[in-house]
Amino acid sequence: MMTLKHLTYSTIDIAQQLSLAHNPKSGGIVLFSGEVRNHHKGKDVQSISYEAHEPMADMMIADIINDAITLYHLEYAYAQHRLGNVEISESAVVVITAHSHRANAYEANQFIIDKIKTEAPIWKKEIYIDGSYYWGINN
Amino acid sequence: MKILVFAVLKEYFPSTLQINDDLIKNCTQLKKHLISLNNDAEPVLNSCRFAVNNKFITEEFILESNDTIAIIPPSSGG
Repeated sequence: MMTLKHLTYSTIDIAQQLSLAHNPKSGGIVLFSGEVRNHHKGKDVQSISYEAHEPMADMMIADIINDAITLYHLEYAYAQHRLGNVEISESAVVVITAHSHRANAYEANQFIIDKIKTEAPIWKKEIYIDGSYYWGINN
Repeated sequence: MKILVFAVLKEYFPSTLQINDDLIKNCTQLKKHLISLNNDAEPVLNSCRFAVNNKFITEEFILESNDTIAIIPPSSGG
């Protein structure tokens, strides 16, 4: 069975992930956590179920991170995305970037999350309180 | 060829299909074949990309009978 570096069916341990990013060269560490909210377009959301083309998504996230490291000269970057059912207020995706200065860390973090959302083969199914559901599309 | 189907496309097709048709040589022909199996899937299929060996392929890519082809709907992660 293939080991996935950037996808997990388990709860993301944000504190543990952040602890891995500390390094003496970095003056700015940015952590973004994309979390499941309880509403979408007027509907009450119960949870979101994520699925992926797992080997392809894992590889693409690794490539996106490597691109960001090169482009923004990062000292550290990592991202992890949940799969399966994710409950309200749980983290669905975490992106961490570290750089000598905060501006690059912020910009690189946004670069990574934008690319993951629009390019990686990961899909969300929003499940509503009333039992209906919707397959999301990111623009 | 083996076809992998994801997300909203699973409302129209089983998650894995086996298609044995030597006349299917590219994504356009494969898409037409899938629409012939379920024409309700056409709007979704028109927004999908195709991948082989974890890489997106272009229209020029020649499909082989032993390829595994993933049909990738628009992303919605995050």
